[in-house]
Amino acid sequence: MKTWPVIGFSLLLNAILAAAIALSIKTTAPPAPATPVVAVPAFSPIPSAPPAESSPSAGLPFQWNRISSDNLKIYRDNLRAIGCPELTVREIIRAVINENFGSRRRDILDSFQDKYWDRVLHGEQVRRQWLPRTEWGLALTSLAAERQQQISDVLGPDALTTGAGRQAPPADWEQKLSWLPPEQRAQLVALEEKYQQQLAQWAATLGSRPDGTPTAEDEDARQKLQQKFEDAEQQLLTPPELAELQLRESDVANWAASLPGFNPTEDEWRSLTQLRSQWETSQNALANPDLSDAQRTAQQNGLQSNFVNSVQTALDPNRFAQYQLANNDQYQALHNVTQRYGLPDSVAAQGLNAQQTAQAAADQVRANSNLSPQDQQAALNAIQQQTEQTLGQILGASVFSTYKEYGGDWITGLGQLNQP
Amino acid sequence: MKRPGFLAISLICNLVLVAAFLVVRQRSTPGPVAPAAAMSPAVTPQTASGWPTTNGTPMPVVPWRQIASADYRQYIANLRAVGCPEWLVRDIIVADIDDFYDQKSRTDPVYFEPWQGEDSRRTATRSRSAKLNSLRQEKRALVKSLLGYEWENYGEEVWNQDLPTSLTLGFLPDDKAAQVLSLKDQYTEAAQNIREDANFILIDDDRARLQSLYDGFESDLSQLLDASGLDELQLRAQEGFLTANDIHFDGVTISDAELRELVRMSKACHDVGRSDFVPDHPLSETEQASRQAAFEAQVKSLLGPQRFADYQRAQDPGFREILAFSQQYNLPQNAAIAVYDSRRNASEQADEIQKDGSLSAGERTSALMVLKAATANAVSTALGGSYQDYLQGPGQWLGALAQPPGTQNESQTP
Repeated sequence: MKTWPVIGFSLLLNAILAAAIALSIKTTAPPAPATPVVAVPAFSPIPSAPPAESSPSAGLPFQWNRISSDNLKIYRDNLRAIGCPELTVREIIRAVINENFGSRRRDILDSFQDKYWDRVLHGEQVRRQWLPRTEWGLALTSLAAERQQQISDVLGPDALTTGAGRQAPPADWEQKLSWLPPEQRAQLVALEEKYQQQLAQWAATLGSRPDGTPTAEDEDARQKLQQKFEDAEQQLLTPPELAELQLRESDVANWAASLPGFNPTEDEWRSLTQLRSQWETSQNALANPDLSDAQRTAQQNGLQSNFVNSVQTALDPNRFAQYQLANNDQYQALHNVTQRYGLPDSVAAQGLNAQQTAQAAADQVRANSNLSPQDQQAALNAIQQQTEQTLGQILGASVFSTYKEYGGDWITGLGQLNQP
Repeated sequence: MKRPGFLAISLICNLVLVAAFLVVRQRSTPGPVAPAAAMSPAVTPQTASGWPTTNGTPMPVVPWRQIASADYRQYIANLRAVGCPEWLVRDIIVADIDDFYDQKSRTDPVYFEPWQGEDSRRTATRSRSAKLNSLRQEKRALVKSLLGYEWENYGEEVWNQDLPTSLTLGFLPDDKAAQVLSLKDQYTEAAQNIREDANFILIDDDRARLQSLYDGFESDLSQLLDASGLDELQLRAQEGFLTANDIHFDGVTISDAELRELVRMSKACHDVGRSDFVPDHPLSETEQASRQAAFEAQVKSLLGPQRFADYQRAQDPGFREILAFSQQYNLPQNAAIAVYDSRRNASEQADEIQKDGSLSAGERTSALMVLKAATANAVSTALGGSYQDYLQGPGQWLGALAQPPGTQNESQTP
């Protein structure tokens, strides 16, 4: 067998493989770094307990000055390219922009600081609304706008949005809709999220215009979005589920949130929310311009009276009494103070009784034309004094002292002959 | 060497080189994408700086992962080791901590069933707030332990955007200003928690806690700032007294040092910084008047009788109005003072004429006409060529001077 051709082929293969290996090694190495880049070890989590003396990891993969750049877009891209998370990229670029603007800002600040008290003297601080129009105010505002623009240019307009401008996170919606089966809940959350995004886009489009006022077309577009959302909701939910959603999200649903001392049961809440909803619908009808003021007032009183009667029917007598107390502002003021001291609700109820008795007595004195003004004043002073004693006994000295500060203004009013 | 032996060696070399080639290829193939890299959008990095040159192909490693660490001390050490500037190390670490605690505080949102009443909502909200406060305190303690001082990146944002803050804290170096803001934020939040816990009904215990908090704030400020910086900061905070009490200095000659002293004195009347933390019990009218009188006596002692009279005049909107007019028309301050005095005298005399029961209606009208003419003459002399403009503007009170009682506009009399 002739072996030379085989040997030749083998040698040629060796040469090709050697060249290929060399080429592979060359193409995977970083391109001629300024300082030698040490081979990067595989990432291993650093133990959570910090060492007494922290030391930098061996073999750090780069030097900062090789990714930083005066061109912030390049700086940003370099950070992204080395796997820096987007949140950190934003913070770094924002910090660099702050640093870059810092010296210019400092120059403006220094230019007016030695005149600070002179400006106080001339009332500049008093007229705070003038601050943006002052020379330094204009300079700082203009610099701040330039800074914002640069942040927007490099990181996008989203980077300007602060926490307050963000929409509610889906986790909150999930909780709000926890009464729905999981699958529907997830779909409704997604629907809501999409709708909110569309609304945000609609608002952003308006905001980008010089006047920002919605035109009829804009309003039409918004209504279409809303209609589309509501249609999708209808498709997703059964009629009872939709009714439940509407009840929970209606304007009158949160009435219990502002009634201290009255915690409705779920059934009570449902009954009273329905009644409130009907009452509100009836109230809206009073906006009819054909009604005279007297007619409107009469109808309003009638509706109010009907509503109270309906609530009385819906609740048992004890609960209705509690409900009425909770709706009484005078009781609420007393209740807030007695609660602060951990006293039972009955103390606030006794205090309210004393207040109503005293105010009725004072009204009688003021209406009594048989008394001279001097006699009326003397009688009012006596009522005021007596009321202070009574409330002091019901509440105790320190609670009464606190009550006078938080809601007890009416006690001084008792002694006034001519009430405002 | 014999041919079979040479061939065998060459074939072994073939095998070794094939294996080596496969190993090299394997190492150069990108591994699983790290989460951090997955978060980054696809980019085409620049090559001008020489780093990195991936030409759009995935990086073989994710260098940031060798820097970032769940252990913040290590993270800081790594950033420093790669030459990251110290101010940037601070902002990167604080942003990361902010994000970490932000996620942590979102894990337990509060939701109320619509039938939950106010009482149970408040209890749940307070409980949730207590948790969040605890997290915020933990975060601040962590930042302080890492950096050695309080720092909020948010504070720096406020410092960059808010004009009144820039005005008030502008005398401080930037880092100190941002630290003062962080400190104030921290203490204000703690004070708000006390108020919310009390449902905004403060009893003596609450006030004692708020006072203690305020003492802590002042103590921390005194650690942060030197004596003169602290004094200036406190004076600038107290300067709000002038705004709250509508105190003006138009037409008063007063030096910066005197003004600062006046502001310092006002603290005894109402301590603005303290009352932000510890609301005073409502003062009786007598106590309020007594404090006001004590303050004015101090101002009089500071300025002397003549300048105190100027100070009192400056509090009159009528004087400020004519002074503004005179400044607009480049008239001397004396012209404004002359018009103001004429107006006051005329108003007093008109009052006397109106009240004089010995005068008939005709005599009263005549006396008022004479007064009006004399006053108009004095005002015209003081204002010269600007007199007609004055009559059309703030000088309309002159026209009303001779009108019968009850027809004058109250606001036209100084």
